[in-house]
Amino acid sequence: MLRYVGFPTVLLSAVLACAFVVTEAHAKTSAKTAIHVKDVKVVAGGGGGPGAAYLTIINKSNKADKLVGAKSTAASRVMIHETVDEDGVLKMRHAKSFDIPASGKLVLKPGGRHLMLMGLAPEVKPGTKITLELQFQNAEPVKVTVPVLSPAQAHADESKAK
Amino acid sequence: MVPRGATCAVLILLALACSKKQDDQEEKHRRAPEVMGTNWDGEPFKLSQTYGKVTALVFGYTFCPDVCPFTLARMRQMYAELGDDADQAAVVFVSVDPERDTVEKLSQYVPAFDKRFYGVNVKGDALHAAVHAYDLRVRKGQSLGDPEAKDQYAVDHTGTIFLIGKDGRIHYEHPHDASVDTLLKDVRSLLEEGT
Repeated sequence: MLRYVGFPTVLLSAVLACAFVVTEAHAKTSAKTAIHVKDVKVVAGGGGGPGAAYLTIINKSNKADKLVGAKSTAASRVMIHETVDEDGVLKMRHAKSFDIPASGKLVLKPGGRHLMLMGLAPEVKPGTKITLELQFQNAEPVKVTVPVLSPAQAHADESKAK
Repeated sequence: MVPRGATCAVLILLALACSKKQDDQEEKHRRAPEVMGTNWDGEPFKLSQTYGKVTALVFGYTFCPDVCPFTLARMRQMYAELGDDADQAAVVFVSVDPERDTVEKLSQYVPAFDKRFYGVNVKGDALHAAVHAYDLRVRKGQSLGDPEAKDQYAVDHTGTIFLIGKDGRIHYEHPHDASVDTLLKDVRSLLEEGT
């Protein structure tokens, strides 16, 4: 059944500027459970628009953990999200947490699991940096500082990684 | 000496075969339904104005931070790889979220990828018609962010990339995450075929 559902008439007052991307400068580790964070990137809309963070979390301990939240002084709220592709239809959904297997890793990448950054500060632009704090069920929080890139640069990063 | 009747029969068969081939072509590649709205620069937009070029048509929304920026970034790379041939191609981003994606907002989003890209606001019944015509599924999705904020929501939508030939027909349909190489191959094929 193909159907189009109308939208509310509310207009967003903030104007979405071009999307930006943030990537981490250095990998960080939480000693308590040997959580290691690397390859952090955030795609975000400027002008208060939303952004999405991508990263890899490596769990070097033999105890499973969970990514349960995140926050940033550059965003009013950071949420755990997942884009799912259901028969070609892309749906963005909340998630309570993402599992990090013991001696395994959790990968957040475009088109799938990600962190969504709402209400990004207007000064978040390519060339600037933001700090992101990741929160875990067991491990101590991990803070990463990441420079802002353009979406084209982020795409180039993705291409290089393949 | 070939009998005149036989010659006529051959000609008729040939004509029928040609007609059949044309019908098959039309059956195989349906005409891209018209999309009418307003481009990010404030100018009226009709998809049919891109006929004569090879067009990549995608539907999305700017509030989406996870998929749409990467699709458009791949389009940007595709343009770069096409070089001078990019003048014979068009990229059209149609918002499925016209209330939030005003022309002003599109003007700050789409040209950041490439000023040659179209970013189109299509309103009301016209969008409804386009969604049906392209067999898309579009639905207001989950509320995101602040539960009290009514303007923070996802829009579930089909992510297909439609590649339209110079003939105004849809020749390829790719998923949203199709690689630049895949898109380039098909776009170049359509450019060379002259369709």
